[in-house]
Amino acid sequence: MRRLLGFLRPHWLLVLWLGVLNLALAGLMTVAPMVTKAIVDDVITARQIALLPGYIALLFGVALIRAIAQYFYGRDRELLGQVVITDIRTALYKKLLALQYSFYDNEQTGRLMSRITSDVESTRVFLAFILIDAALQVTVIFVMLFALITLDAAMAVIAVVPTLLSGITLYVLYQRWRSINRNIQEQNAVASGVLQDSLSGIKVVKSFAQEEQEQGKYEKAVKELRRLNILANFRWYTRYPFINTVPRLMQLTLIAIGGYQVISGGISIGTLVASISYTGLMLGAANALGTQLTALGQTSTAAVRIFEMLDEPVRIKSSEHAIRLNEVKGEVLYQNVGFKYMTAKAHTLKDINLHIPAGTSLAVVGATGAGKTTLVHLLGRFYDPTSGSVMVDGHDVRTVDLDDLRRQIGIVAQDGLLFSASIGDNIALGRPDATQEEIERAANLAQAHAFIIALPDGYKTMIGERGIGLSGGQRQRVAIARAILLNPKILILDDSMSAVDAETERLLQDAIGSVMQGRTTILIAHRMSTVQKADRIIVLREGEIVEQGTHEELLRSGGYYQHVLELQRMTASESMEDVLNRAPEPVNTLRVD
Amino acid sequence: MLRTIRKPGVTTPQQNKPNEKKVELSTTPARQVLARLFTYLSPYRRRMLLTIVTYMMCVTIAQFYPFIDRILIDQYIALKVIDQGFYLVIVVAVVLHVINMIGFGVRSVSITHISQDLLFDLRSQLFRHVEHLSFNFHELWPVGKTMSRFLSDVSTLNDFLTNQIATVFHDATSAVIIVILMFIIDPGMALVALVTLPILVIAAAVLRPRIHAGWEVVREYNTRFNIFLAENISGMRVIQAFVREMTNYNQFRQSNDTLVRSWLDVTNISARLGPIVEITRAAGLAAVLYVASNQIGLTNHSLTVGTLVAFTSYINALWGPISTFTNVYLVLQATIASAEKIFELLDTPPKVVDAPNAPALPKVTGEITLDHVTFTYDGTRNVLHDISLNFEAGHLVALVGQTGSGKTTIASLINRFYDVTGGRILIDGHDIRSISLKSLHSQIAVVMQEPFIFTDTLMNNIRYGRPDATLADVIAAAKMANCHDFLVKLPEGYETLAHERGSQFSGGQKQLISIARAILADTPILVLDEATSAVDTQTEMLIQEALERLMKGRTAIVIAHRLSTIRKASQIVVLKEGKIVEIGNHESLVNRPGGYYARLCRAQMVGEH
Repeated sequence: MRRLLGFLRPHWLLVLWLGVLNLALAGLMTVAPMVTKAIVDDVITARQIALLPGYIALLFGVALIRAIAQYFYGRDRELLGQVVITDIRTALYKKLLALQYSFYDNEQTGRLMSRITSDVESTRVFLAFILIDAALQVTVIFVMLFALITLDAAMAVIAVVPTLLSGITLYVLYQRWRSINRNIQEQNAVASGVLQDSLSGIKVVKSFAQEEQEQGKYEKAVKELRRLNILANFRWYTRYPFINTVPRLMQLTLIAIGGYQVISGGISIGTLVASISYTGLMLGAANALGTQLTALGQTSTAAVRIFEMLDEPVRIKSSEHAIRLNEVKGEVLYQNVGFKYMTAKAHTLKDINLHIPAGTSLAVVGATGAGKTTLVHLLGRFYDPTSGSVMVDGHDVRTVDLDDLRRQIGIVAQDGLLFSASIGDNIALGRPDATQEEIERAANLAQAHAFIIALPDGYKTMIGERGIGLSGGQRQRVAIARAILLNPKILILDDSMSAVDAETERLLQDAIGSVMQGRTTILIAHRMSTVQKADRIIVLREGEIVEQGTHEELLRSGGYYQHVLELQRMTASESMEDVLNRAPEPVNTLRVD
Repeated sequence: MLRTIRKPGVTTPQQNKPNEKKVELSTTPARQVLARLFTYLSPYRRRMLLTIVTYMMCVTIAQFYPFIDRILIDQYIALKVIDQGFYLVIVVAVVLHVINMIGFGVRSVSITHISQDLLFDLRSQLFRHVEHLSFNFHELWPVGKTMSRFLSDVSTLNDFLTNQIATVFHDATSAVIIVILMFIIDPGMALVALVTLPILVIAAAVLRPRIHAGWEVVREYNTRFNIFLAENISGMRVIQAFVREMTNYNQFRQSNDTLVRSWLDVTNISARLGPIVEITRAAGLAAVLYVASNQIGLTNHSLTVGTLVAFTSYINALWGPISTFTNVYLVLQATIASAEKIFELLDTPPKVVDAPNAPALPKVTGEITLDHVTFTYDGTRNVLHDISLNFEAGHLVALVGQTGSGKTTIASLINRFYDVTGGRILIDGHDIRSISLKSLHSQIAVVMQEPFIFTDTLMNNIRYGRPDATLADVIAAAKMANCHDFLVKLPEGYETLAHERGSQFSGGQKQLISIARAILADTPILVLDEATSAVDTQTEMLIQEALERLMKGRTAIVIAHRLSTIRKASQIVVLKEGKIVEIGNHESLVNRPGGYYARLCRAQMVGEH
């Protein structure tokens, strides 16, 4: 809570201004009953009609000032809300940018989205509305109490005790409400998760005719949400009337006791009228406060979750005295590297020792889950090794500036994830300043230029979320162009041609062959044609390097690599002879269109 | 030159442009939208009636408070008589208050029930609708956009139905009752008190369209902002790998600024209503006092202190709701905007629907016929031209061709994810448009290029197509799919909970799981979309083996580039730019001089050797 208020601190001037307006609005509210009292006592009872225009003018003047204050209050309260929300969103977004891969391994996009959308919205409503409004209502209550005391000290006693009582009751109620609300918010996140899953996997849902099963999952989540909401409201609304009762009883007590005093001449009838007005205003404020408190519970749980995310440790960041890298040669060294995912039991990499001289290429071969992708992720420092160290040009990657390091490395990941932007912008992802010429050159090398210019708007064609609308092979080629455009010293191709058809792959291989010149390249690939292009090959198996050497060396060794190669041959054997009987045409004539 | 089909995702390039200036405004009248929203209340008519009656009772009682106070002052205190009658009135006041509070509890709980039930209805309906929308929709609407309908728009309606409707109703009823009571006490004075009210009404009417338009803009920017965020979160790995943090941070600031500015624009307009409320109230009160004082002069004491007290209370009570009413009014605008967005979604018709009374497809053998099939995604360019094919039951068919040649489209059409533009598709002689979609889909299993894993247990993922399958069935399928071995090694075995999109598993593992899913679904027809390409050789052996078991005895339509798969096909269909260029089996095509397939084979052989 205190931390939440911390978001208001940078805007203290605005908060102060709203406080002043607040006090003015509440303070000026006391004038009307005083004027009424004066009219009752002076005009009606004492018949000094001449005083009336003055009183009315006073009343109107006060209203005018209140009107102006009201305008600023309404306007600047929104302003406060928006500046605060911007701060919180920015803090969250910065956090998201800084958090490491391992965080995203365990988080659902839907859950994160609900942090940054609905939780932030709740916080805005809380800080700018509920808190400020509640402050206004509390101010009103106290100002009215004060006005009552100045009016007649004896009356004050009648007023103070019940006010305190209802305050305490409210607090207790609020605490209970809050705990239920935490459950409601959690259930909300669960429902969003189900929704997100069904929407992203809609193709599977439909093709297995499981719309009803999904409907069932979602309804179950939403039903629980309904139950919790009803429960929360029931608890609140069956208890809240007790709080509402106090001011009304107070009013009636005032009339009864005040009535006696009027008769006995203790107070004027005008004083009684004014005090009834004051308690009436208190009644209104108490009502409003109750409504605002119901919203309060929802917010504080939202704030808790926002802070949870802000407190998420950034495990991977540049150290304070990080070495700046301008341009590396591209020498890569893995020294006794071990790695274990936080949630996993077994190590994914065990004691890896590997030296890749600058400008050479290395192919990584291995079964699924052998640790290939993990190995290259450690180079870009997307994870830190559990033991040992990864060096680039002799610098431990943990000692160099993170951005500098990553700028040296071009990665083409398994799934060519594209953003909702033009194809051109997607290629220029890592270099927003690239010229159209450079973009086209990269696309050309990646065998993507031809299909891009065939699109309705060429390079300006917008592609949808997750690149829907492009085939897997097209997406991979865009992703390859993206990496080529970076002109990195170290290039990582993580199984990035898997969805490309055989012919395009042939063309791509040639292109990549030329791109690899003068760069350190790590290839994760499954097709022998790609693998054997590399200067050196390592075979990974359950996190360990079991074989390494050139293609020829490994063929001769009679080990795992050769075994794999044979398996691959088997899958495409038999009539291979038929094909080989005919002399293969030169590769570059294979272009069909 | 490669020619690429214009797939639906790229047909509307303006779709998600983040900082586009123009925002189209809705044209549906607000009243119509609200009226439609209220139709959701009709199933709860009885409970509504109860709530309304309780409400009326409570509000009436509450507005009698000043009336009672007036009696106490005028008839007892002012006359300086305090007798049993005085106490009786006080007791009545207390009893009325207790009744009021009980009523408050009853109606609040009741309205909560109604609104929660209604929300449940709306959410389920929305979900059901979205789930049944065709692929055209899902490829055009980013997940983030649809999500924001369920999250922010539904929660706006939630707030409206739960909190605001009650307030509006309360305020409206009390206004009516206050006006009636004022006229009962003193009709002339009542007219005087209400004289400034029309000014307020006019001011509100003038500002209203501008405020409405403003909120529409806010909604739109908000949706865009959400899409931006959703994409950034799911693409965070790429952003970090390409050191794009600063660029995206600036985009974020820009997107946020646009949103904030549009918000402040509209709230600046609506803040003007506050002072108008304040001034008209003061004017009303002043008028009452002024006229009253003149009456004092004229008719000698016609105005009692009690009446003055009551009128002051009533004016405050009448304007109080009006001032909060301007807040409600803002909420109302937001609600209408949200409701419109939701209705827009609900009104999007699914393009592919069951024919009326479509019968279920009986268990088929799996013979598929494409009869002069033509197809276009966007109505302008044909992706398939006059395709006629016959796939025999239980045989393997390979669709071969370059990216964009129409292979995937054929597979999608057989699944009836889209409807053919011309011609027809028959399964066992039934036109697939004449039978129910559910029965069609339950006879076709799909293994996708990028297998999708649900955030659920692996057990449930495998039995996805047959939720009633037992553990033994699941294990049997997993064994056939070669994934049992790695599944049992997981700490919680089949009960392991997959992360979002199965992110803890490798591509090959996901592939095997999705094969197990297809095996368990046990359908006569199978569609495989490039499912064999994304893994290493050893896993591929496992996959090949699993696929062979899967394809056995089924009509299998495979979109593959691997020769090993294609070669086993009894029919190979070579496509180019939406036309069949070659058809036959491996032996008949491989040596055809100048044939596309022959060249493709050579390319692959060179590649693999």
